[in-house]
Amino acid sequence: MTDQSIDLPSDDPVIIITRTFDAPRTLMFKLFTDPYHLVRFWGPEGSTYPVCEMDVRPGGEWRLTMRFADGSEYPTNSIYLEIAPPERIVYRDAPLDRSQWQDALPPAEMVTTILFEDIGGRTRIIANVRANSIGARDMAVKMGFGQMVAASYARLEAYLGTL
Amino acid sequence: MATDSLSLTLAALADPTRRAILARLSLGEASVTELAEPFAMSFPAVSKHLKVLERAGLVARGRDAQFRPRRLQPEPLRAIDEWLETYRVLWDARFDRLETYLQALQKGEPGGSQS
Repeated sequence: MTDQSIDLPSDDPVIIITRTFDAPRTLMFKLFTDPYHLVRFWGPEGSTYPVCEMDVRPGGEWRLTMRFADGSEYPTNSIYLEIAPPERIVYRDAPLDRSQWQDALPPAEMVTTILFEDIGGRTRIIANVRANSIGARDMAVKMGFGQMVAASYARLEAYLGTL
Repeated sequence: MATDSLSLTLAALADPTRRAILARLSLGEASVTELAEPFAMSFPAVSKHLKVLERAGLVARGRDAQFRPRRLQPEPLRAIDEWLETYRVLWDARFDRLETYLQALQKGEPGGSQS
């Protein structure tokens, strides 16, 4: 029996969440790029951020540690791919410890693009979350996992063996 | 490492031919010959794509031993859906909080002062 009820993704696995805010986009952009503001809405509910360091430029790191009421902490690290004030922020996940990757990074699991559109003094924010790609180029997916090639040929062979 | 099931699924979906094969299979079982037809591809080329899809658990072989029809296994696609859904929920809640925070900012309330 064939299951026919599934919606096939016609293109990349991506979700887009949009909301319009009653504020100018220079302010909205600032809220997403200034730790003072960001920690006040980033969430999830019940979490605080003892660490939020943002080096807001392409290639810059964004270190964030989430702490919950029970004391558990979750550090994350992201790398900015694009910063175009006040229109666009693009970032990807990055390893907590980059030393093993030297200059290269493992393939992104997720690339997030936040767009700020000016609509007559208000701001439409479009959050685009894309799984396993490196932004517009989509190399990681299309080539299997592009960037890892630079990191380790042994791993490349191991990965190809799984295909 | 890109050997977890989600990565395998995403890698399998990264190719337009493979997505077209899945779209065809969503209509029902099909033999390799039937699948090859619309693509002007050789039998081995289609088999290669099917192998990738099978490894990702997206396609399985039917019971008919003679025609060996392939059928869609949608479970890995659901895993992607669920994974993306968590981010949708996260962003929805984030926008809610942002709206509340923005209102506090604009009223100049404590905790909402601009740096």
